[in-house]
Amino acid sequence: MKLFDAISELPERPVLPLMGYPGIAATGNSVANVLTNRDPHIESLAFLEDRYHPPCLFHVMDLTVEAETLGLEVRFSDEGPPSVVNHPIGTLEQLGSLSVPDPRKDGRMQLFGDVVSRVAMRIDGMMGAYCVGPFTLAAELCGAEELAVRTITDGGFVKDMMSFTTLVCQAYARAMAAVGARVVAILEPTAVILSPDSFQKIVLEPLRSIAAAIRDRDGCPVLHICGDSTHLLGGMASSGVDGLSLDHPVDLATALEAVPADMLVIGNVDPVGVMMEAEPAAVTEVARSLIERFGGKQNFVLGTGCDLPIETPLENIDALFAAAK
Amino acid sequence: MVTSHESAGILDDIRAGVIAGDMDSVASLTETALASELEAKTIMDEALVAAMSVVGDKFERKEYYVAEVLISARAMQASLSLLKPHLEAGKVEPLGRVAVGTVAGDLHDIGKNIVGMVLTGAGLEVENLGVDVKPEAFVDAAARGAQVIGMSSLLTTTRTVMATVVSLLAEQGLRDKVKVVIGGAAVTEKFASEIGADGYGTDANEAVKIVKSLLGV
Repeated sequence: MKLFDAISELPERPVLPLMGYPGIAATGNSVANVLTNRDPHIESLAFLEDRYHPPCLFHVMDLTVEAETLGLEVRFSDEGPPSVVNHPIGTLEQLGSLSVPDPRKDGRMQLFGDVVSRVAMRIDGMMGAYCVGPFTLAAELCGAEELAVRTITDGGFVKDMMSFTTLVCQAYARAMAAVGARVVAILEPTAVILSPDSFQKIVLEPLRSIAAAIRDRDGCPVLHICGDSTHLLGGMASSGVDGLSLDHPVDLATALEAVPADMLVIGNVDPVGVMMEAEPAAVTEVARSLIERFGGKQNFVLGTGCDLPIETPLENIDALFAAAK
Repeated sequence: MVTSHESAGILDDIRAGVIAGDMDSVASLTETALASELEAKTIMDEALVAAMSVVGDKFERKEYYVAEVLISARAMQASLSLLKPHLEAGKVEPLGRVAVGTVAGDLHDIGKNIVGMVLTGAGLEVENLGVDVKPEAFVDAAARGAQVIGMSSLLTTTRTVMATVVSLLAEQGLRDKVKVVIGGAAVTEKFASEIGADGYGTDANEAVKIVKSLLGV
């Protein structure tokens, strides 16, 4: 079943915020502890499930899981998301030394799969999982600036790099769907730096094949790109996913025109300027205005533009859910 | 000695090379231009700064994206590093001095690097302090003569470092001597005004406009 159909069957207007981090703060855990241990991770998701019963509950976002499993050094923090420290894969020879991990056994891929399979069994709604996008993983391996330059100067390297990262993403995304993730969101933030033409040439086919891998296991693929992805909407709309999760700089009217009527457009309350910094009344106002403008479209789903910062007041998330009622 | 016609031709070629992002040809043309006794300052102003202004316009019109800006900026840097000894010998003053960095705890570098390169292309002298930059390092840069401190943050958990830098600058008696501008996904106009920053921008082109206007150049 496509995500559009699953969402259409819900009795209430759905709200799909990306909100793992405030759940960590609410349960008094440290980010590093949650991202490296199963039970604290499940505890923070249980908090969010009990408070919001979202139509789709995603695990905590971590864009370093795949890179770390491939052997890259990751720096954790108690308060915020982890980061990849070095980007050592600069040559085809170094790339050749890497192999596609087994998500059922290797690194934190296995850990996140375990969290997803356990949480999926105990929640009301759909379970959501994340996997990093192939271009973003490539940037983690060789450095974003280096990768950006090589999209123009060294197409052969980028092609081989993308072939490898696509295999990694396919394996992980397929495994997440297999253990119970009904929705798998492909997080491809680094692609925002590409021209529409480069996106078509470099990222589109890899995304389609990852989306197909998710469908193989009855999952629904969603694509998220941070920032102003307006120039990529045409490509994103043909990436074979069920929905696009769009950040606050994107005009959803433009997005809704760019996608087929059964492709969801999820967004796009500003995660920092509104959700984190503003008062609940302002959240209500922004959310209601989105509903007023786009609520008539069956494929519009109210959500946040991006993952909510850990400092986001729960009252603001309450206000977002309440606005849809 | 080159004729003015020949020198105009080589400046055109350097300019076109920077716009196309052809680093190798820009470097060799710069060497030829210097050997033919063209002034380094002329090459900088009439070829490099002019080219990066075109690149900035193309970025604003969405003809160029980050990758295109990066290869143009790298070509410009290749030329600039050849010009630098001549500019220093001739005591040519830059339009202004800027230090940019991503704040402590944050390892994102591409946005900050683009801002740095585009500012360089606009004729400013830019010191890139890197990522994960401690507050003291920004203050030291101001003490060394930076007139503008540019800070980037993509994680809300690290943006508080920016407020620390502003107060440290005040403690050291440097706040009046330096302008503070911030950017990155974790910051907003509201936050900029709360911490007492002088400017906030959402992309590299805005950064150039804000910095130039703060410096009055």
